[in-house]
Amino acid sequence: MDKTSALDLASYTTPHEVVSDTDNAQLLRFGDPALPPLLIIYSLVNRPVILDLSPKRSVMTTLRTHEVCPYLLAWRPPQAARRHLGLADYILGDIAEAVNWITRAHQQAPALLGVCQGGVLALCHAAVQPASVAGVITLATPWNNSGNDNRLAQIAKRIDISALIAATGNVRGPGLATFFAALKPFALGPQRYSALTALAQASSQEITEFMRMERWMYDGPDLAGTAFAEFAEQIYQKNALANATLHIDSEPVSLQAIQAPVLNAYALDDHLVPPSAAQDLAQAVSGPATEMSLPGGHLSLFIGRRAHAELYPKIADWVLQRSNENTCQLRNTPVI
Amino acid sequence: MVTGQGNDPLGIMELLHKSTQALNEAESPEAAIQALREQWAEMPILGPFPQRQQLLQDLAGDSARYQQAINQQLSAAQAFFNDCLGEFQASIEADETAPDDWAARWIAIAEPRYEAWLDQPETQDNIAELINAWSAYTKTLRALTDEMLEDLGMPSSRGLDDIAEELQRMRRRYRQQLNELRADIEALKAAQAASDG
Repeated sequence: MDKTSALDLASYTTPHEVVSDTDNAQLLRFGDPALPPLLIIYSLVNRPVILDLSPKRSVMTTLRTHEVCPYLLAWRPPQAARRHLGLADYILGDIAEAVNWITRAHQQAPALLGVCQGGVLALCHAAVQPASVAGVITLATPWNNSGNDNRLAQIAKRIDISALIAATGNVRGPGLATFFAALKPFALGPQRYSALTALAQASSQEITEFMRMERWMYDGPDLAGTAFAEFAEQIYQKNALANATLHIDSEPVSLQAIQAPVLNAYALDDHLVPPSAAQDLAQAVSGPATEMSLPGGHLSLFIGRRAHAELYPKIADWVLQRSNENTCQLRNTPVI
Repeated sequence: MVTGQGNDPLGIMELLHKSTQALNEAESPEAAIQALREQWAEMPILGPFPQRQQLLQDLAGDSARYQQAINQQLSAAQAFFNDCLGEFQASIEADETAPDDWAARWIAIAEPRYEAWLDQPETQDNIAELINAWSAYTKTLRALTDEMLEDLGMPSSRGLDDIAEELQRMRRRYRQQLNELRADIEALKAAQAASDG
């Protein structure tokens, strides 16, 4: 019998409750509703369980320990009937609804924390509805894909995205995961699996963590074909967010419109979102912006010890500051 | 498009003549098939089910393109691995390391070379062509399968796609109406507050 079959590989480890449903997501609350809110917008590409991998390596737990109330917008993977969902549906629909719900519940606008692709979605929301957020935090966010060292962008520019979507409808998660793994096959193949022998003496906690990571890497959700095509063509091929040529539902998206404070963090050895793609956001937005780089690769920002020791406490402090600045100053976004 | 003259307006006789000539000159069955494919690629589609004929013709072309892309990528990957293996062999011959260390050494040699190989424009072109050729092949295959399913009165992917598009239009309309309602309520609240104040 498979020794891992009894392990819980897909659930969150931090206590939480479902507080609302949007069209394409569930809004989960992981903290005390009396504390300042932080809405985490995860990428559509993978599952957010990486942020709550184990009790010791949980972004949710670290944030709630530091007196922040984290919310997670947990995307529901689209089936075939939702293949035409576009970025506008996620940004103007689900994210806007979640922000409104939290603002109503906390009587203050939340800060957004966008993870990887979710960072782009968060920036788009903040650009289109700047008054609705207390601040924006971006982690490993590919907002500027003009760099020659950006392997993913270089390959994406050569791909006929419309033809791909016409062939596949939605984009299969396992296919995308294999593509990403093929960008680093030795580290993710022989190097990772040669460590399996060490697990022979490992605790069940360590084995669970290893298997949860394994499941996360190769069990990505499918992506809505239209949203995938819009992201690949606009953000990667045309670099439209950085060039200020992006439109969401005919509405122009300009990073200059973001006046709320921004905290931008990225990893220095990230092969998926290299520093050239993530850094210097401060130069694109209008509000005060802080840049923070950490050593390590893409995942080190979410599960790395250093990130949990330095980055997330800093994020929590930053959110608390925004909350203090905005106390009793409910933004003038329509909240119903 | 094949064109002819006089009593052979579509150039059929000429095509048959050229095909015979190409078959005579072919030195292997593969070369003969390739020659015929090239000769008949320009043939106009005649007779019943023209769309299906076109799809079948496209499928042959797409299949050949995909096969070519696979061959190209496999050849490039083989050259890359041979290069790495040569370096690895030289490395373990140069000093007598224990076999236990070979995996780590192999990774140390292959990983940076692989990344440099991935960064080459030719490699990126090959990867993209592999994906693009697969997309074209799958798109044609899908259209052909849809035709057959619809002939059998069964649901096809393009039928489902029609429904998905309609759902999307409804979703957009619903969101727009919701936003208008919210704006109306907000305006009413503001008016109420003004009259109260």
